[in-house]
Amino acid sequence: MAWPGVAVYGFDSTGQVTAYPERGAAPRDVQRVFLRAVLPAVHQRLGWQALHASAALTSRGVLLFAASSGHGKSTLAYACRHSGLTQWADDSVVIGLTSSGAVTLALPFDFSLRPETTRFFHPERGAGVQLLGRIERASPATAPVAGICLLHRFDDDGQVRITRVEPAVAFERLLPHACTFSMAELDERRRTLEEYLDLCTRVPVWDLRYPAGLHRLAGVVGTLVHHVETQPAGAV
Amino acid sequence: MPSRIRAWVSSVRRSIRSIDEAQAAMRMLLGSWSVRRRKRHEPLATLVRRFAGQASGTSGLVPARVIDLAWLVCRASRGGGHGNCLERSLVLFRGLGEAGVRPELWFGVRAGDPRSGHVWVMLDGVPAGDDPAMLGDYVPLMVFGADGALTSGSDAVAPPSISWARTSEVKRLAG
Repeated sequence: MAWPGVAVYGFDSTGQVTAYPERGAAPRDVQRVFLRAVLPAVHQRLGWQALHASAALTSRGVLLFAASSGHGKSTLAYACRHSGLTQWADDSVVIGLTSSGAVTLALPFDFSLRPETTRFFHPERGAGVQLLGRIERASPATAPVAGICLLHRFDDDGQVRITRVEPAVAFERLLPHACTFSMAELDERRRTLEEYLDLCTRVPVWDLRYPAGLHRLAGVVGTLVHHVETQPAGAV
Repeated sequence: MPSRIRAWVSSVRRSIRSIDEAQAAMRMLLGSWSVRRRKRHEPLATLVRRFAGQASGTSGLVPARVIDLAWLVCRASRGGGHGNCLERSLVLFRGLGEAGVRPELWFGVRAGDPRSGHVWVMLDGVPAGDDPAMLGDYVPLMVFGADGALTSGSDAVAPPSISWARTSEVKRLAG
């Protein structure tokens, strides 16, 4: 796997990665690309799936936030952490799908907050500071997938709305967020499609529509966690 | 009715020793059908919570009989073989809970193959009916306690680590 200007990464069948840095590449950039791009790709090659999403751990398992870059998934995951939950991922989530259920694996990751977001969560740091950090690995290191939220942030002053998405529609809308590193091979493509279909059937996918504004985030997290943790699990 | 299924039904009938066991077996059978239906559209954690601590008609039975019955019923419901591990384990997990002990539900994947999963029940650190040698092929990933809550995840699947190529190797690659 080549990352121009940084390194070429090779990995063996056990997943161990060797980096061949380009001349002048900064070690921190080699490590950053490893965490952000190479780790999910290696896992996908080893039989897991990788979804472009951030995530937080609730009492019902891991809740994923899928959205395109710049649509608030990192901020929402950090807001979950600020509310006392464990932040599970910032940019990609590795998922294992078996006939018995969907499980996700915690990986180390870097996170970064924009200056205005940093100032909101950490006013003591002053203006113009971008918060950067690394989470070595969430604990516990594995947990079931509780659900997936497709994020929609809007500008008016409306309420948080959470609506279940039908599996067929969810599949169509989730697939663009799949990290597809090796779709050139037909078998790999088929496996990815089958597993995402399975995931959308077995795990609830919700549309999460929430108002913009950092001061609203705590309320959004509270509503969302309440929704997930009070999903009915009645008598059999 | 195919002869294989007839043989298993006959085996279940022979193995049941009392009315209580017959009632418990019937509840287990209904439970296994419920898992079969629900597992297609419910996340694992929801399924586990749904089954944890619910009445299963096994309160008067000893744990060893609950284990025997769950394996028997789930084999019969699938017409032989070992049955389905998730159906069997959830039924057993619920049955043992009601029989007054505190089982754990374990979830693992075969080493090197995250698509090949297995679910089993542990009671006092011992597998409830599963072959310990066979379980050695699996890497435990999650454990659910008797109340259905996730009690621990596993560090067994370590994330890949990175090592740096020596300068000579980098030069050879560049050349």
